[in-house]
Amino acid sequence: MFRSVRNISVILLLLGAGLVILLSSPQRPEAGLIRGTLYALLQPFQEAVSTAQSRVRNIWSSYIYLTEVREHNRKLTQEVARLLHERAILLAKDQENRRLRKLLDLKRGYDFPSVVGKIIGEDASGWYRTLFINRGLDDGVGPKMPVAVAEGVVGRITESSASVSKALLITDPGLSLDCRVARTRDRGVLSGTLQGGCILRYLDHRSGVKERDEVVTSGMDGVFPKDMPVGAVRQIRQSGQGLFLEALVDPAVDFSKLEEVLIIVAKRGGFDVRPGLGADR
Amino acid sequence: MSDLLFVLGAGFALLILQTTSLGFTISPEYKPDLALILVVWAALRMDLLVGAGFAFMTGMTVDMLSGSHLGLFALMYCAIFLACGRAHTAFQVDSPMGRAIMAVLGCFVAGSAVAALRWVQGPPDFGWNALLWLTAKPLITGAGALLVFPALDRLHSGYSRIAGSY
Repeated sequence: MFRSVRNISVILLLLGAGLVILLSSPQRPEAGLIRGTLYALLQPFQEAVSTAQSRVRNIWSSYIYLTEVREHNRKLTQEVARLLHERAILLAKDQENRRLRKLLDLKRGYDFPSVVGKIIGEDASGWYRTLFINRGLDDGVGPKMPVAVAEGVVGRITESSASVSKALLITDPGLSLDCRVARTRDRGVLSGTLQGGCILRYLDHRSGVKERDEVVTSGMDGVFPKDMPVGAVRQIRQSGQGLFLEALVDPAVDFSKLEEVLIIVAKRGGFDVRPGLGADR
Repeated sequence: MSDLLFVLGAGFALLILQTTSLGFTISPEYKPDLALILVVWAALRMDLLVGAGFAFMTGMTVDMLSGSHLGLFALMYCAIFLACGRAHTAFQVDSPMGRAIMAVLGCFVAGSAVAALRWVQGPPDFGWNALLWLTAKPLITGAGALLVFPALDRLHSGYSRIAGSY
């Protein structure tokens, strides 16, 4: 009995105190001493928890974001790789297009049939300067036919099968070519050297040939059309016997970059201008 | 017979390599003579008659795939095969370096034969580059032999197990 009265009294006291405080406390904007102290006590903990929570949230969102970014990055990398591959293909096609266009221009420039061939191989031994071209007898290509690119003379076909031909380059000592110095019109015989270029022999010792003079085909050998570029004079010297001049010639063609060539398949319209055989083209 | 098939297959593969992609990696005039390396390898592994026939055939193929006179490399490879076989019998040259030296000498001999033939045809313009060519190419071939010989040994070993020659 006493205990229940005591309990009820305490409860009523508390409720009453609450009511008194509620009804009597002034509604001031600034916190009182107790409240201020409480706030001051709680603030560091609240801030710490809040900061930690914020960081966790940031980390989580960053993780999610990074996961998306990673995926996005992977897709972009794939896309870049694909585009680079396509770009490389397009560049290769563009270069091929330019080369073929040059060959086409060259082809239009001469009045005789010609065939564009692709380089498919090179000399097996390495001791000679030959190339293999994917055109042969079936395409009308045969021995002794001239091979050229837009930059100049490449060489001459030496052997042909049904579908493949072997061409000897002008840098091989085994190939001789009747040429002229374009400026002075002096004639000489050009052949390859073992020093990586060509040599124009039997030039008249009174010739005014100079370094950087252009050398062109003379058309007198009945094989190469007239005035096809061959190269440029690098050095002039006396021949061993002193009767003639010799000119070392840098070929106009960069043989290491050859991919397609033009093979002149017939001598129509006469680039053969040997005496008595009529005018050249 | 199975050995012959092996060297024929290897020769075919090496010649394809030699006439195509090898020239893109190294200047054509200095590229190693892979066919010669195979001939030297065959000289230490094959019967005299079959090997000599193979060397001759490989040389003929190189003749046809180069600007040389038909028969020059056939003759040279055959001679190199016989010389290497003889050296192997006499001195038991089977170390990697010994085999590489054989390849160097063989390549030098082949190059000298080419130069001599060019000289006979009409004096070419021999210069320092030709001398460099005659020395550098054999050395590069020798270096290539150091790589190609072990590869051929391994391939031949695997092939022999499959073909059952052992």
